[in-house]
Amino acid sequence: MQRSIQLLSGTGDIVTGLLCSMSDRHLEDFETIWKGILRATEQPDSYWSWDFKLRQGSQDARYEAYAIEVDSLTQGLMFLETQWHRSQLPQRYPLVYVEALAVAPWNRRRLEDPPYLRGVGRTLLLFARQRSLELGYGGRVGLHALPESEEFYRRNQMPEYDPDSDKEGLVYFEYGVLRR
Amino acid sequence: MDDPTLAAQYAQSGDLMDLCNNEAWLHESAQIEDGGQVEAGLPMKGYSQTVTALTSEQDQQLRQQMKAQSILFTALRQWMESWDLGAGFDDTYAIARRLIRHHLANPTATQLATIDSLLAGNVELGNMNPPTEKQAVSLLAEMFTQEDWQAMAEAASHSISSRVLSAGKTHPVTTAV
Repeated sequence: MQRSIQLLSGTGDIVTGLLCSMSDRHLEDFETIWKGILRATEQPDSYWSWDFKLRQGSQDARYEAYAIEVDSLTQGLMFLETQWHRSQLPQRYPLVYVEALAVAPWNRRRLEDPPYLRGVGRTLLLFARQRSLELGYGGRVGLHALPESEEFYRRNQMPEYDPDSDKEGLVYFEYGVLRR
Repeated sequence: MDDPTLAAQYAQSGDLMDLCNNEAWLHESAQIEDGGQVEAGLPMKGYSQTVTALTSEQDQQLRQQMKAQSILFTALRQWMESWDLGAGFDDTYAIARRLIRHHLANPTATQLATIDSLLAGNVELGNMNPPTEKQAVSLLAEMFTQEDWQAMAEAASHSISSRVLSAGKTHPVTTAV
């Protein structure tokens, strides 16, 4: 799967990119240039393995992995689970669960520099909602936000639930059925 | 991301992603993301914390690396499209990117000077001007060793032969009785 999308550059220009199924080159971008900073800062490596998740995605139909690519580099990544997760509502409706969502380090605003691209995260979130509609889940999407990201999901009008003790207290957010 | 806007788009086109063609949506997305983080999922905790902890100098270095690779990979893609590889393109492109990263880890003084020159120019990646593309392609051609060319050729031929063999399995040959 691949489709053309538009984003804004840090200087406000409209740029064209690609939203596509994650492939080896996106994984390599994460492992080399994104994660290069882990080596630079001598931080312990995360236990998350996109490599494993990419293979899982290609072998198990319930997983889907996507990337946003602009200027020949990966700008954002998202990993979805589409069959086993259920809504926090008592009716336990099926939904698309965002296992992981991340944007490239240079797409964050710094004091000295604007983000290289703006809107990558929201574009991925929008696509998760689109997948939910395509799968017949009505637009239901669930995820656990990192503490520093909670405000982003609130600004996207994603209903907020309680911190989840199974996810180290991360707050759970869930879109319900898309309503007019 | 209000439901009425999304519902109206879905009713109109069946595709929420068409909102990405709407300039107002793009500006709204940029504002919503500004100044904050977007990462979700417990597995992203370590990555997010590390990015937050980057010093200004580390962030600048990372952005320079990113720009250099963007310029070279974009020029590479355009150059490789002229090779007419067909089904062999993706695998060959992947190998070529790996090889470029390997060389960028230890560039020669000349290569470094060319990279600095490319970074100093106001490169519009979506519309790379011919002189810039020529300069980038010259650098790539100078970077690739004989072994690199062999590796890329093998990737291309392996990719194509795999597809041919796969087609043979999908439509097995039947022999007359």
